[in-house]
Amino acid sequence: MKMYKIAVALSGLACLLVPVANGNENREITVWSWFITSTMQKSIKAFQEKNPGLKVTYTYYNYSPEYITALKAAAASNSLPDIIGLQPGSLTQQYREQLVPLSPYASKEWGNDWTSKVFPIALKQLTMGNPTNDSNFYILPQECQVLAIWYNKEIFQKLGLTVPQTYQDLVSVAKKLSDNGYIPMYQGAADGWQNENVFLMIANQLSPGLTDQAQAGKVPWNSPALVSAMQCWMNLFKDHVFQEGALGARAYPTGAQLFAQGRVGMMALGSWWMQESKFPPPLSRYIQNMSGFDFFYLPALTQGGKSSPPVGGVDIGYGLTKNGARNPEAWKFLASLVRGDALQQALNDLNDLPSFSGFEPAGEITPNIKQMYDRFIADLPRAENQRFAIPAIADALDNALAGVASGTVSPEEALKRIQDVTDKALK
Amino acid sequence: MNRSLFRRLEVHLPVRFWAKPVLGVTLLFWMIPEIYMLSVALRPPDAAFDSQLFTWPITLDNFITVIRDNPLLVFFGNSLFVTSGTVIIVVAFASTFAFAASVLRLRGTTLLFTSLLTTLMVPVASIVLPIAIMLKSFGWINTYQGLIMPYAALGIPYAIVIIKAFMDDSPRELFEAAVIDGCTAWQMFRHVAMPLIKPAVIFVAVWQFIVTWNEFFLALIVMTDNSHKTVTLAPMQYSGMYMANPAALFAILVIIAVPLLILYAFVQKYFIAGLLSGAVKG
Amino acid sequence: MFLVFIVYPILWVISGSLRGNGSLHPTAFVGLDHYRQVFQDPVFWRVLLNMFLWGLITIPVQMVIGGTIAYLIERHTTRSKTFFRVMFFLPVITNVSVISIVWSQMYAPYYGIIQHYVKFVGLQLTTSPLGDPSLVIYALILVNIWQWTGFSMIMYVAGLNNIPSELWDAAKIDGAYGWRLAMGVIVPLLSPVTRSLLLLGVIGTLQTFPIVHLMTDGGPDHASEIFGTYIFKQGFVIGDLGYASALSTLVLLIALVLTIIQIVAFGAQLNPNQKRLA
Repeated sequence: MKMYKIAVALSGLACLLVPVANGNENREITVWSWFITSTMQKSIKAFQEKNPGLKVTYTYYNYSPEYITALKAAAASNSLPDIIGLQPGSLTQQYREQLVPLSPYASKEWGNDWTSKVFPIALKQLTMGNPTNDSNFYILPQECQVLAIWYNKEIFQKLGLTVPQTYQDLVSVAKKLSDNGYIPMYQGAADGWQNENVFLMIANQLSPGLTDQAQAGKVPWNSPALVSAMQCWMNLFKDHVFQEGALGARAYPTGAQLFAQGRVGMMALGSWWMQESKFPPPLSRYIQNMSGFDFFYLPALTQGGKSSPPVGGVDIGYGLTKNGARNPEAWKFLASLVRGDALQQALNDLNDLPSFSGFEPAGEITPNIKQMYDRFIADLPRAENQRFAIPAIADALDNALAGVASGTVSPEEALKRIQDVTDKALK
Repeated sequence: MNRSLFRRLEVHLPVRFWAKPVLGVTLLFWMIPEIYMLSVALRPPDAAFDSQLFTWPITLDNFITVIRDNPLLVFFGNSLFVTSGTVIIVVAFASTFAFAASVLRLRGTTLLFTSLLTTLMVPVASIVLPIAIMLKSFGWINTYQGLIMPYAALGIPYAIVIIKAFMDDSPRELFEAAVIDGCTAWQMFRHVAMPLIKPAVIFVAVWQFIVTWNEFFLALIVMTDNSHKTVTLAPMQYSGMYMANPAALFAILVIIAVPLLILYAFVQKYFIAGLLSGAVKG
Repeated sequence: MFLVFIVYPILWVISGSLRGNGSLHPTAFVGLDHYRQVFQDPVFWRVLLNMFLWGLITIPVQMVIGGTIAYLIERHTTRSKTFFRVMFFLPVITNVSVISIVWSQMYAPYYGIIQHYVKFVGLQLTTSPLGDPSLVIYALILVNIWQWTGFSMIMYVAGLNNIPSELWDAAKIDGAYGWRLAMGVIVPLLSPVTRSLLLLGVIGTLQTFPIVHLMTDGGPDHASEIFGTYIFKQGFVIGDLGYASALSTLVLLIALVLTIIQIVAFGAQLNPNQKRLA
């Protein structure tokens, strides 16, 4: 150990003195993403074992502001790595000019019918925001997610609560949780993405797919169903379903941490949250094998309405940059990430759901986790879209939701502001 | 209100009696966030966000985790190199420039000074892209000079403000005497100005050290390669979306802050030097 | 060489502000369009107000607290001097990521730190100031003051130590004690430090970014938006570099005006012959 440290120190010193030589015989593939390092290292190891002579160098960034800053700076100065992690829609669109279309690669690798193996929601999201007549895929999806409300089973049991079926149920469950010193439903409402997720759950139970049409300019944002969704959103705050002071709270690290510790009754997260059970060391007894947790979809928030359908889509995808297209080995790793050994490793860590059908997590997966996983996978094919094609619209929605929640803007006024931004963006 | 309170206190009670209690109580409140930070770093992960200031038992596991998972020595080496390089350049340039502006009153320095100052005020987010483009064209991505040079450029104006204030404040007669004695500008700088502004220079050096050590934005875009990364880039893996480990995050940030604390604690006593030199001046 | 690192980015930004909305490289020349948009944007005015409040509150409060602490430490402590100097400076060297998390926990109602202790006196916080549009900017300013007062303190410590000791003696012989000594003798003597702090305070205010980004990201609904976060949002998240550049250029202009005001206002005092009391 000591020797190792000394060696590290010496090599550190050596780095100070000599510029790093690039003369190693390993051919290198460079990857940037916000994907968890420990899991990515397992993926890389699996890939390198199958492909001797190739070396993958992974650079991790936090998503914001780190990753989007690094990506933009590298794109502006033409120093992007071979492969970059991206979300479909707005983020991919910002880098479209630096990316190469991937369909030819995919067809060559997996045959022409490869798209039939991709979950439909993922396929639909891949071309979101493309200019008309451009049907190229600039990223391929690695993982998909389904949004859901997670709840702490043990707390529910202790307080004699059941999964809420109606809005009245939800409000009374929240009240009971609060009365017993728990946070009812933790909402990190300072995070735009968490508000978007809940709003999309609501809007899609009132009228599936309506937000999609609204962001495409096909229906106005102040359609009655969306106004009603906005009111439901406001009520979640007014009726104390969300915790007090939610607007000043963040989902990560605070919310996720409190939830895992057993201080929170419910929280809107998604299928990716299962991975916490694999983190070393376990955060709490509740999270070991996920035995203390389960999930449900938001119950109907209006009289006689339906509960939320699954909402979701691509969690993370990867694009091949123009630099990467010059590296003949880069595609191999990308292929492995989205539909190969590297993906398998990520699934084994329960990172999220696959985008191609036919994969199952392997290794130490308990029956409880397996049944949750299977329920998510079963719901994924009918998931409604959660992504936005134009960042300005997503940003406008974030602000509108925060404004309505804080009571400074009426639902109608807030929706009108989104409409203005949408009109301007689509012009 | 504050003022009259002060005055009333003063009438009844000399300052020296209440100075320490006031300082102590203020400090106690001031330290609450710091105590909480240290306490979180010493907690098992499942208690990280318990609302008590202290929890029991404490554990060193978080420190072990972050030391085990990161080549911290390499990162520390890189940071040390970049930071010292920057500090040396900044101090050398800023003190000579401040001397020129304040004592020699070279023509045009005020203009230069103003323009330098103005550029300092732009948020870093606005200049990240052009700096990235420039560094790329110099081939300086993933090099030490790629960080040292922009840091120095951004640090110098700041340093000049401080050193110049002290230089402006030192007695002119000393410089005039030196001129009469036939000192060259350089001799005057070394033997007259330097001793006078030593506290300011030390201050600037410490300040620059802290800022550079903690700087994050530029390090992020310049050092993309693991062997060149500085310590500030290590913590983000513990604060990410999907993978939050606050206890480990706090632990690594405590480790990063320790060298700064030691440096500062060691150097702050040199501020006394100013007092002494003032007395000698007569 | 050094000018290159400052001048090139500035020119890049200014030219970017006059061109189209390319998300990476400026495109065609569009003249002053972006500026027109900026002035019509209610968020811009909100940002301006927030920045004004930020500077107006942060700078003097830090000076007063920092100066008082420095004075008490330097004049009225002996053996504990180092201890106090180090402890009050700690927040300055504390990483912003930690500060943001800790303070969010402090502000949080009923799972927060403050709540944990005030409940013993029967108080129940019902809302987080970070989630209240009318309070959020003040809550952030408080954090900023907490973090940077140690910096003002150490500047004043250095300044106090730069005052020749015979001045103290002379003042005492003249019968100046306590409050009168402070206001009549020390404050004027520290004016160079105060001027530096004012200038640095303005710089710090305009450059504020990470603490707000991490704690509220300018929210809720732009209530705590400042230049740093808004420029970042426009340039990096929404991808409208032209607009972001126009904002940056306006910051530059504001900075220039403020600097000139300071130089003009303090110009008389910059005359070295009038300045010293002794």
